[in-house]
Amino acid sequence: MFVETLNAASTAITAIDLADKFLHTFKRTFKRLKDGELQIAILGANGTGKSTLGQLLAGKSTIFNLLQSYQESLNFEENLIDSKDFGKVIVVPGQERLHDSWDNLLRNIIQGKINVVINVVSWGYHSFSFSSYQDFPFYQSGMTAKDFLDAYAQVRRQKEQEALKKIINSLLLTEVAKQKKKKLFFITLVTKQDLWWNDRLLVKEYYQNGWYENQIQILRNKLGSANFVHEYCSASLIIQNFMSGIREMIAPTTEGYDEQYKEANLNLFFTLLEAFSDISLNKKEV
Amino acid sequence: MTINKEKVTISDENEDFSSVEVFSKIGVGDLELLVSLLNEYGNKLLNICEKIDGYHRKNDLQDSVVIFSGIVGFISIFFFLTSYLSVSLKSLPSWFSLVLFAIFSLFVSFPVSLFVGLVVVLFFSSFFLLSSDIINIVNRNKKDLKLLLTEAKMIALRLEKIVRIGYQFQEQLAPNRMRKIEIDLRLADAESALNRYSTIQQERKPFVKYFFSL
Repeated sequence: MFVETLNAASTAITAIDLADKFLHTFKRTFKRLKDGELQIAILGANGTGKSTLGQLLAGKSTIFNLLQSYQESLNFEENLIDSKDFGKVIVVPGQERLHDSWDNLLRNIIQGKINVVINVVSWGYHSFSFSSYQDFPFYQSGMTAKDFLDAYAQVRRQKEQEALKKIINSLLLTEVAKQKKKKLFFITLVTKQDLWWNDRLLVKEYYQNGWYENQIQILRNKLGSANFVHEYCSASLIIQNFMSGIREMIAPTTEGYDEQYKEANLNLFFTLLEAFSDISLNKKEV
Repeated sequence: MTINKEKVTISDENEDFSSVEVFSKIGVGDLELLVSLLNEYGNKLLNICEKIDGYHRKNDLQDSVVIFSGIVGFISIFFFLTSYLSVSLKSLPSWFSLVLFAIFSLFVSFPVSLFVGLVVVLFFSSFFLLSSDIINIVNRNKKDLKLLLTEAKMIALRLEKIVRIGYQFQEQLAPNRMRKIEIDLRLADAESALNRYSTIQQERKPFVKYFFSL
């Protein structure tokens, strides 16, 4: 009697599981038919961590992949999002000279085909490959790595601004902006938190109260706050010292910034992304 | 490649210290080297892509010949059977004769069927005799093509590496605007070569190759 009850209960549980799975698949398919495929675009200057974020969202973030030395992306990278829901993540190549290749993607954003846009910035701490920091044109004899980093980050923050200008100018196209019917979710992700953690107040001030926020405000005014939602987020995708292309130490990770901080901030970002894109991501840990 | 590397060994009376690698600053000569490498590998890749394209076209023609001889062979067998059946029509069940008559009424007359059948069989035979040559040529071309594709892949990988370095130069290291423009132009050429390679590589094989590949 007892065994039979257990068997019946087990069958019932299996049936509920199956029904749940079927229902989920049905919901997912219905959602896809209704809203189209979810697309997340990752934009930003080169060396900010766009490809790493793309790998992370695609569930390809093995420690081996992430620890590989920095490589410039030559083309758009497209990956399926590691989620039970359908969706893909598109990463643009960040080089300034390839900004024109973003046009099609930006057009898709305007037309509402892309649901979430992530602009990746990193307080100017952009990775670079191949060369020594002493090879840079603004390097002067006697400069320490710290001096170099200050000058370098300043130059690179201008590149971040140029990338944002490119995005905003495209989204501001008057005629097209008026046609926009779908809500645009825009996240500014400030990466490499482990490197600038001690300067976090400065970083916050720079992005949230300076030129960057002004540009965001212009876009918000143009699209209307009902059509445009923007949030700032900061995280470290991987804890790693900032090294030059030939492995010279430029900036070490901040003392005390550990995995716990990283996980906590990364989870905040993922939660925000899930809320914006209405999906549930599979993997959140690196 | 753009870094002049020299090895400095510090020695001591008692101990042999490990060697230290010293890199000197990137100079104008290095930029010229980068530009020449972009040129060299870009041109190499373009040339090889043209060759591959030529082979693709040649193979398409050969595939067409193979398909044509196959179709002709099929038709000849078909006519041969039709002719044979039309002779021995009386021995077949009546419904089958009716179906045959309805479908192949044009050739139901024996002399016409025989004539068409013979012509087609002779025509096919010529293709059959030639087929071994055709297959040999196709096979040889395929081997050449495979070698070219491997070579192109190697060159493309090298060019990709150089282009990545070029990006770094163009965006971060170029000492002045003119140099930046120069590298930009060379990079554009290299990118077009890589795009060409990517197009050539993605070209789908005609399905017939899967059936006739040896």
